[in-house]
Amino acid sequence: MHLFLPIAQNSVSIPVMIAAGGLVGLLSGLFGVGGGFLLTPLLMFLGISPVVAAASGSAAIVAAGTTGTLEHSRAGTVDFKMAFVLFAGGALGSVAGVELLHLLNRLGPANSVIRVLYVVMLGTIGLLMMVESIRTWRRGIYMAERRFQPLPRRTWLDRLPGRMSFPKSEIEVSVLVPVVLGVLAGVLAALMGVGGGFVMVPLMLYVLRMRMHVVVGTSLLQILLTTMLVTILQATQNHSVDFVLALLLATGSTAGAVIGTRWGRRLRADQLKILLALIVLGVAAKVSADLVQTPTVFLSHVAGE
Amino acid sequence: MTRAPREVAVPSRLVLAVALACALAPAAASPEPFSAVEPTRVAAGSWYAGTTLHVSGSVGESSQVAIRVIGPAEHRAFNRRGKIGGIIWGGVEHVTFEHAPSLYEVFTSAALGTMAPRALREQLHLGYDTLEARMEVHGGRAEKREMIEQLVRLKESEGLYRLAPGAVHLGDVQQGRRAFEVDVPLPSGATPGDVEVTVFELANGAVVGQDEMPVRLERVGMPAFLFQLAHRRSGLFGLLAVLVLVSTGVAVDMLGSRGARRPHPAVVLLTGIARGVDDALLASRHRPRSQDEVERMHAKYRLFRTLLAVNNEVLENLTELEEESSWTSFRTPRVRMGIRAMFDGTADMVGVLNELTANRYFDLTNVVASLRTDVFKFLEKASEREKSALTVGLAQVRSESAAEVGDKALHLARVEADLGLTVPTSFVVTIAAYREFMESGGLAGQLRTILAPARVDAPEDFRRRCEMAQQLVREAEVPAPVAAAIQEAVRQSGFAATDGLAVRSSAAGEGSALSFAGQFESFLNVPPPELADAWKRVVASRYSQRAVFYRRSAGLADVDTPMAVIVQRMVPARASGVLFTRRPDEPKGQVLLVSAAMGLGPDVSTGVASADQLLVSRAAPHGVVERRIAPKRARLVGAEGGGITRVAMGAMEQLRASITDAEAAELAAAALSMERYFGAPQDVEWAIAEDGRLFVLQARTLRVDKPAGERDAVPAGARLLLRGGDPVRHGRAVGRVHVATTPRELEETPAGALLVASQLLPDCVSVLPRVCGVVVERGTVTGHAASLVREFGVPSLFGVPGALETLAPGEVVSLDVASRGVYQGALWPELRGRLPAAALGDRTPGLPDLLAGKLTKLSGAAFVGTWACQSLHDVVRFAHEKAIQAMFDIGDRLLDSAVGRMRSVDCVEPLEIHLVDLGGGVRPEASEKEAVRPDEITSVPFRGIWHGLADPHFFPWRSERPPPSASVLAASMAMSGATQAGAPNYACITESYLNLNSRGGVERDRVRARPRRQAYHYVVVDSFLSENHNENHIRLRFKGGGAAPWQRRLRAEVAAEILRRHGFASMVTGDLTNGWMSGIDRATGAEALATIGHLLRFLARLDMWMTEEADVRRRVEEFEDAEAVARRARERAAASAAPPPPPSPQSASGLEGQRG
Repeated sequence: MHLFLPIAQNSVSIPVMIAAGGLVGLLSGLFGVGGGFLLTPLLMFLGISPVVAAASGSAAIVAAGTTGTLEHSRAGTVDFKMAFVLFAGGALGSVAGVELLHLLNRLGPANSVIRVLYVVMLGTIGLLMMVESIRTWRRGIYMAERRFQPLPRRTWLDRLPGRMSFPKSEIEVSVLVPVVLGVLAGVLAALMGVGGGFVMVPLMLYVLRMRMHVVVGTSLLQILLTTMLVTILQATQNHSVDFVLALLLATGSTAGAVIGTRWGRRLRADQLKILLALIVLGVAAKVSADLVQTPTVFLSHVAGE
Repeated sequence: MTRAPREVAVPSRLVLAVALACALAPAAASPEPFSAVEPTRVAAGSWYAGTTLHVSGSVGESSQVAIRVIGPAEHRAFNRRGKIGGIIWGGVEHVTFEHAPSLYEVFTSAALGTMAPRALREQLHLGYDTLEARMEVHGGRAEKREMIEQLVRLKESEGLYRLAPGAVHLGDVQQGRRAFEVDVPLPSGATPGDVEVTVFELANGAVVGQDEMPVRLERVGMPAFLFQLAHRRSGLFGLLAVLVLVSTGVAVDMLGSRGARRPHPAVVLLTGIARGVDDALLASRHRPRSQDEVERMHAKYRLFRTLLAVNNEVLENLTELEEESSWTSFRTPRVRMGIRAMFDGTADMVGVLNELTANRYFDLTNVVASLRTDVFKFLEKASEREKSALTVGLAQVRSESAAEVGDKALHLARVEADLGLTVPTSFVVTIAAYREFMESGGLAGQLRTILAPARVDAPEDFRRRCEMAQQLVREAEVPAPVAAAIQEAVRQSGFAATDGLAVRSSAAGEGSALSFAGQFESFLNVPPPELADAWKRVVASRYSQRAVFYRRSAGLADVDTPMAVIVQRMVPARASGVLFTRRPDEPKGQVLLVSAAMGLGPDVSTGVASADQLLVSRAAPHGVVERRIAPKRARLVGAEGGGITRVAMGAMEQLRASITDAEAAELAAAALSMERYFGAPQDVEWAIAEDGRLFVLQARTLRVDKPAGERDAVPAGARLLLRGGDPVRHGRAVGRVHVATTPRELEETPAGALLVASQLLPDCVSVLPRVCGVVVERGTVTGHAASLVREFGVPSLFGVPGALETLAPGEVVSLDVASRGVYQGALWPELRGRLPAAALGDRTPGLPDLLAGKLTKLSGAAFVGTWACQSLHDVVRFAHEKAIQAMFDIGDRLLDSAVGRMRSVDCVEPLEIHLVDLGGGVRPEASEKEAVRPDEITSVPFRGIWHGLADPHFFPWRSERPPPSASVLAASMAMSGATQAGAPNYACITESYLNLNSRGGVERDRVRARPRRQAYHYVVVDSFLSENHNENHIRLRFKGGGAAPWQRRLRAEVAAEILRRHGFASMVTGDLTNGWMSGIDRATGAEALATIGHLLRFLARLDMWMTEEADVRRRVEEFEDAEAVARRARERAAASAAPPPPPSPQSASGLEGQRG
């Protein structure tokens, strides 16, 4: 069962691609991460050129994102206002990130710098999540610790001007904070070709102090918007969106997202977190191993042509 | 020599190279093609997955064959990786390859080196080492050859470059030629375009023949279309892609959601597969293993504890919210945080409940989510509304701003704007300013600390606290924005620095359902610079003793009646006063009532000064019907530099009427126009300036009573003590006279007394709720005290001369307002001690109805189902209830798999109880023992029920002797056909938990020859008893028996009735009795469990003896008697020095022995 991809110029096995999509969709349904950080390497491993892999992967996430967002919005766990504010920042950040990438590329191959950054970031996030979830697990109470904490301390974040209220997330915060976070996620997305979900989720939890159940849905919507933008940009500028590939992946990932969302309800929160932490750490380990091992081939494809 | 027509795309260098090669070996070229390739055109459609090119032909017998396949050249950039920092392999530079063939395959019949010398290979581009000449490499610092080697390696890994020496098989010689054929793979990753297949015939190191055959690889069908679209119309393509992908998502979502729409069968199939996979994966996780059962119970118990803890926290939060919200606006972050914490807690509770019940109440999550959305939307809207101006001119007041300016100001604004009556220039310091004041600097919080503990029944403390509160407010600093806004308003209203201003309250809700008459202070003739201070003082008057009391008794929270303040230019009044458009004592009368005095009018409304009373006809031309001129000893005028002073009046002036008939008529006309406009009787404060102009100072709706139509119903023989005065509030009262001449005496008024006083100040509000009637010597029906009396519904007569002399303290008298008489004795004994219903509302103070409805209200419907939960409180209660139910069945699975850490209670037969200690239920030193002595068990509920089961003082003797039984419990649950003597009972215990589960036997499913899932429960007792009574519960289920069903039902009735008598709620369905009790403290719970222990013993085999309905009552009485005997015996034992010995199995068996 093979299918010829018009843009990638390759033929791929249909079940394999659907399964790849399904895996990533499962993750996005479970954790609210887009899965871009997993999908792109996966596609490259399956023989798709990096440019097409990144572009088509993000296109596929559009579909899974739609499903996930719909599912979550039905459950009332999407903060639309917050998602759009984040996306506004994210769009700015993506443009800035693309420029930055060009600049870095002109100065020299930025690839390795980015990869090191990527490993550091993934590793830190993974470890933090791991430690926290193991701690809550061992305490025997599976709910997050923040539950009955007294009023959070006022930090400088609370003194910023332009306060805006996000009733769904139940936070009131300077509009600058989510915009800046959005920009950050956008830059990361442009530099590393990831949707930013796995960066945004912890940021939303710990910086914006949003609630876990709103975080997943909101992050999905934000990712959906970002990936839609990226897909259109990639299509117009690089002609690198492989529609057929995206559709294959989407078929798997949407189904995966549905199942993931259902499993997410049944799994306990700390189990979920440990699982996500393990995956993040795994990817970090793989990338760092690639960095350290002597390669068989000294050439590699340029990601952002 | 044939030359294939070449596409332009072939780079010129290649053309040159090929041309060169041809030129060097012209003689060797054969004119006829000796080979062929099949196919020559490859269509890459949707299903294209690469193909093979079949190359065949024949060569001379000593020749070798080389087949070279070259794809279109391309221009590619790569990163070259190198070591960075000695550890990391990363891209160090960009390398660009130009004219690199996208596909390069060489298939030969022998090793390349043996076939052709290097020079020839270079010419023919056979072998990777020959590629160097073909392409250019830019940007790399490394050597070109090395770069190309790397490229080759990369391409080989992608399957695009390939050398296959010896892959071409040459056949046997036939007619001097050898046939060959080979399949050259064309991988799917090959770039579409012209693929050049060249077959060389080599002999003795030279080219003998050469065939060039182009193979065209092109996209067709869908891939071609998409490729074109992507490149020519890329924007459209991008949009289209997004659109299709989004619709895919939507479609999948639609089939995923089990909506009302009927999905397509294919969709059903697909989701079925997905769910099947899902379930299969999950099923392995959920498959129970029997040895885990105890662990499972442990986990369940832990969850249950967590749920209880959260339950408590949420309930505490709810209480705190109710408390907090009556002092601070619910819009403040603190209250919001409280609400948020509550939602968090409730969500957690629901989570735990679902964990306990395998997601049975999953939709409860949605209930909480939607409540959360509603509440926070509401809060959001509320905080938007809050941003209103701090001051507003009276002319700018609109009806929708009522919530910001208070009812009085709105009323006045309408009088001015719509009726054209003259109102002094005014502005309103809004409720927003008030709120700013209260919430800045934590004033509200401090007030709460002071006032929350104030109790009406501790009058001294109450008074002190109110004074402290007022002082606090008076001394608090007016927030800068408010002060600035007030000064700005003064400027805009055109008040001069020398103008006197009147400052009056306009509380929200004031003058509507509740009057607050005279509750708040007003200030007259305030100079503009002192305005902010006066404003503060008016606000402070909210905390006067009487105002606080008034709010308490009206069930209002502190935040319910925020205060706006009206600032008016003083009218230099010649006369002023109050006007009622209806006589309160005679609402149907055709007159209106005017009280008038000289000068400024505050004394008239407080009822102190004697004022002229005029009755003016309601009909035009409003003639004066009756005029009572009172001697006015003084009049009030504005003092120089602020404030008011009393100016004594000459003897002649004292008796002069304060207003003329014409002025009275003008007043009447104005007031009646207001009455018509507002559609209700009016209470108007007015002033007539020196120049004769009429000003309306304040106006509100007048509350009038319906007249009592029983004027002459006083019994004929009644002895009249006193007659006269004006009715303020109709009705009758019977009570003991209490005379109050000082404030202290007023405060000491006992409940149910008939209050007699010389005059009544608005301070009386604190006693009004506890008096049955009021008789006052002086005072006007139009005064504030009268308004309050009306509001509290106290039958009253005002202006009754000689009341103090005539009515002796302590005497029981009857007041009949309608006949304006006070009579001796109790004429209507049924009225004795009956207090008028106070103006209390049934509501959650402080919270707006929506919030209260979503958060704190408890609706009875909550237990119908998750969907019926209307408030957070409902959800919490529901979750708690369902969690208890879930725990109730905890023993069920344990009995199904009777393995695990079972222990028994070490006691002599007949009581046999197997224990599962889930933690802390047994003393540590006994924790290793197989059998535990009862006194080693620390579980409070277990000890409770054990007390009952083994109570030596309880003798459940009945008129018949029950047959002896091996087990008390088993006896009570024995059923026909399944009797098992001494069937064990199981108890799961912890320090504060007990789940006692018992059944006589297992009903076997005959068809499947295994125990039926729904095993019979004969007795289940589930109880949690901790220090916190909110957490505690007892639940009991009792079913079955060995007698006929109707007998078992009768026994169930007995059980239910006994339970009811001991404080349980109970219900009977067939032979099933359910009993429950919750919110009890530990000791009560333990006692109730002891009673259950007695009951279980009492019920043993009782069904056998139930013969008729009347038995139920008899049996209940029997039980109560035995219970009473046991109680007395216990008390005697307790009294006789030594504490009662812990109940021991010996005594239990002794008991059995007696019975046996």
